Amino acid sequence: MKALVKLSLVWRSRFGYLLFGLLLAELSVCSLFLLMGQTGGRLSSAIIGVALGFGLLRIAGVARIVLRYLERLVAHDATFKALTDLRVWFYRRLSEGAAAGLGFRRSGDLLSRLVSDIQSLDNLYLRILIPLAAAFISLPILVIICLHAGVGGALTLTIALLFALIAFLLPYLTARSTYRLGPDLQQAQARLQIKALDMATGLREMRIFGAEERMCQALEDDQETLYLLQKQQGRRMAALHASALLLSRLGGIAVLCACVGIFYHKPDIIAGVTIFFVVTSALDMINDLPRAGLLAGQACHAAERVASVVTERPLPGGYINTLPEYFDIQCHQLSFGWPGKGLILEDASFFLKSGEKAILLGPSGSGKSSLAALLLRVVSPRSGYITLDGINIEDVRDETLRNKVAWLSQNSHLFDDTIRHNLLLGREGIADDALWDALEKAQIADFVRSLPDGLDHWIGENGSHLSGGQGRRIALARVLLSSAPVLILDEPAAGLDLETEKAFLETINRIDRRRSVLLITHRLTGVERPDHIWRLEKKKIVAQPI
Amino acid sequence: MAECLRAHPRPTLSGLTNRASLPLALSVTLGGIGATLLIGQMYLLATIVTDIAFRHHTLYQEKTLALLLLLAVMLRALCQAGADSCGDLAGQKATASLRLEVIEHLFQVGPVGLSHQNSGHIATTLSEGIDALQPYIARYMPRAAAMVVTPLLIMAVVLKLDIWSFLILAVTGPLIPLFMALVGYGAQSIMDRKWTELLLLGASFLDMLQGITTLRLFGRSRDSVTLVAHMAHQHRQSTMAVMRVAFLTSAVLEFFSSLSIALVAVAFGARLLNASFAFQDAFIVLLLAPEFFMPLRNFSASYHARQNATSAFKPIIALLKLPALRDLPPTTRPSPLPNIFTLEINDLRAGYGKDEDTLKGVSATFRPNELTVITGASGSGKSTLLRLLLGMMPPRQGSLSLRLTNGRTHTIQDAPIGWVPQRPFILADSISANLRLGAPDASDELLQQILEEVGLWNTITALPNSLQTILGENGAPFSAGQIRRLALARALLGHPQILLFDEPTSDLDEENARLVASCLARTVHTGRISLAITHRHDLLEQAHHILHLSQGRLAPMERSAA
Repeated sequence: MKALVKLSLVWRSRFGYLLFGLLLAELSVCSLFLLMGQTGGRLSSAIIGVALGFGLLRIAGVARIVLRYLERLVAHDATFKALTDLRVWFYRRLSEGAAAGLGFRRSGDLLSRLVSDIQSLDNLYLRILIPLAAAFISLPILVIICLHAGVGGALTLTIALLFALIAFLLPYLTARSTYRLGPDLQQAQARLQIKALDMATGLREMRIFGAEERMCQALEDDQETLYLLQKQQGRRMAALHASALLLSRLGGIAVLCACVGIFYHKPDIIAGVTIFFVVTSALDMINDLPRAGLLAGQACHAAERVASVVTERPLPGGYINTLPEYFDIQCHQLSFGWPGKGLILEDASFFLKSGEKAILLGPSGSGKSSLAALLLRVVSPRSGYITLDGINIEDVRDETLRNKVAWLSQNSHLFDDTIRHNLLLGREGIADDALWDALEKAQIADFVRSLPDGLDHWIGENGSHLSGGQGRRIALARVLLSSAPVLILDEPAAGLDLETEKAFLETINRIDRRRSVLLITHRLTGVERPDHIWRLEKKKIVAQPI
Repeated sequence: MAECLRAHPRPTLSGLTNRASLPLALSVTLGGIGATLLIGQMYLLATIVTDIAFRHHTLYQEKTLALLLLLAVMLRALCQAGADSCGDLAGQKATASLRLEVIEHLFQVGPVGLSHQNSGHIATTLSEGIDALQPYIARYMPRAAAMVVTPLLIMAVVLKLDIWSFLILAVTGPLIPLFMALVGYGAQSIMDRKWTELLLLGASFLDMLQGITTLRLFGRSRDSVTLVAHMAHQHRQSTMAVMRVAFLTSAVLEFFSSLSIALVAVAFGARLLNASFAFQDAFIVLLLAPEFFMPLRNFSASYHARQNATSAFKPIIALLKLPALRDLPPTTRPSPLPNIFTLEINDLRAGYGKDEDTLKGVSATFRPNELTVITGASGSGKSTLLRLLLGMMPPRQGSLSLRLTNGRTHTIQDAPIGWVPQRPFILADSISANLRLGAPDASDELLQQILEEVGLWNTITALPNSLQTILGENGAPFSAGQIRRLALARALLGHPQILLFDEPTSDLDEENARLVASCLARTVHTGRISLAITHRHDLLEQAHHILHLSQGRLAPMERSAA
């Protein structure tokens, strides 16, 4: 609930428009009441032989359609405006906050989960807030209409009670039940997804070890668990929906009973039939609210997940605008651990002179990438400090640092765009010559030239139209295009076959002698030509003879 | 697996309903009964009202009808709940059987056929993609049926009561689909186009999120926020374009439905005033008229379920269209053969698709208790040879046969094969589940014995949950070398008579490579044929034979030349 409130605060500037949508929704409901009231009145007067014009009926009918159309248009527009705000807000918080360290430790699955979470929040206003608010306003209107028509207090009370049961109690019950079942359902879904992923990646092994049948069975079991939970939820929903249907019919029957003088004081026949039409349409209108409860339960979880990602506070920015053109890097007794986890670096120190190339070795998971994150100031050390020519990295403005330290890793993202746009990343005023020069240095220019569209070749989702080595070279060209004097290369060749890897590392050897390079890797191939080799051992950095 | 093997005709989106025809039929039937009960309700209601208002009956006289009405109301609620549940069930049943069919097909396509597919995409298609079809079957289909059944039922009743109202409904009813088709013909193409656009935009938002670290480290955060804002704005406009069409059609629908209800009412008004028509019948018809249009409205509301399903179905069909390998051997694990004399490969030729042969006539003989190392540059056909030995693809020509000491011959698939790949696949499960992948019945003692053999036992018992430790992405907390040894243990657990190693020491540092190599050397015994494909020198020293593969041809190699 807290998360929902927090997210809805993002929409402060849209409150006016959102209210307008709500107003239209309410007007549309009122026109429905008017229409149904008129229909009832018209019908009952026909019964007792009083002729009435159809004018009002027609007006109310047309008004209802037009208002309904406008309401939906405005309400949806408002929702999507609000969602746009939410997306931009979410993206901004992520990109500015410490959570930009995401690429260092979280997988893409989480992100796609978040995208659908944000998408599911469009239910919040459209399918939960509007119908619920409309119900809240409709209840007193309904009561006033009933009392005004003179159908008596007892009947009014019955109708109000039924209305409240359908519009508020049943949705509340649904929301509570889905909220409780939510984590179980999500877990079952995640398990199925993991099994599917295992299935897709481990097909070779399953075949060779004759495990296909068992894996298929395991997936079937997981599917069964998920479907059982869904069935459980489906049954509750069906029961609640049927109760809503039953209650709304009971409302209609109660009015009819009153009309013929059973249980209730018998009202005037015209008023009675009018109220009958109004009440049945009002109760029909709120019949779908239990579904809103279901969505509310889901939206709560979605909001919690989205809010939890953006709670990480952004790092404080520095004030120093300028750094020397080339500089030495000193790490002094760094200690670091990811939030909530143990230390992975303890009193780690090194000194990299300007223009030198160093290799940092260590097994996977030993904290090499964390060191890269520290040097890029995506995270802060728990103790110790990093200086650039004596200037503490914490004091340097973010943008200044970004222009001086470039980063390449296997996680460097290639966008679903052209080669040109992947190299430029939105920068302007860079001549094609410079792009070709960078491609040349990354030894991929010949390949790009051979493409029919050259620089404007579309490379697909994370470079899927390219081979692994080609994609890595494009990413390298992007890094070389920047004038950054320091390059941090974090396992840039991981996942490439040996020949390609060697060729790639030889390309790195040829990088401009004035640039400092820190190459992070878990093994040596023999083609590297470093000035230093460091090994990360027991959370410390140890120099190793070359 | 029996479930897996059940064949279905080529699946289409609407053909999915065949997989769950029973619950779906039940759902539609219950919906039909619900509609009948609704008509009954209206009839009883009108009768009671007329009786009491015009015939001056007392409630006591109407008690049977009143009880029937109450019963009809309750039954209808039950039918509704039943129809919903059956719809859900149908959705689950159809998607469950489709999922198994896709998996079964993937097994048929085999690892070689899938090597160019992104496993993440396959996983998403298998889980979320197939789940997206559920609402289509559970909601859209029953509503599509109700759109036909309910109005026809109502028409039939109205025809009995009043010919004029029947005519009005009969004329305006079909007008709605007709008009919607006229508007919708254009609208459909707009919707389809916009829908694709929406999917693209959703994907690019994900693309931006995934690249957020890259953008930030290039100092492009600020510009990228503008870009995201622009994208989100575009997304909104596209969505609204779709919505406007949808709203317009539903407004048209409402207009027509209220117009025809009004027409029915007007027609009655005149005749009721002339007292030329019974009030009761008029009342029933007026109560039924709005219900005539209700299923149409419900149907158009669930339209997006179809759109979602259509787009979710495309990648599923793409997977199902991957060509299956016909000659893929069965996957049951064979029992050991007695006294193998040699493994002989004879004039093997193999290749992919329509390309020329990758292996151009390869012959060799391998003996038990010996380690043969095959070297070769990438592209020389090493992986193809390995795939043939593993039975993952059939040769175009030639044979792989096992000769026993008694002179009998068997195919290579008749003996248990072990395999230690370059990048072992680690299940997102416990260490013991990973080990038991090929030998589900292996005892704990055997596990310990083999883990000691590969030198992992002490490492594993030092973990807090020892064998029950769940392995993370890429086999964390194990290092690359330990994972390689774990894979070796997994292969050994199946007591393989033929053991294949694919680059067993690559990607490892010296220390780990030495450990793996010494483990490997220790396993070359007990009548096992061992074969390693590598380019590393650390293994060559331990090899009994070295063969060199070059441009699809195999030749023996002198140790000094290596």
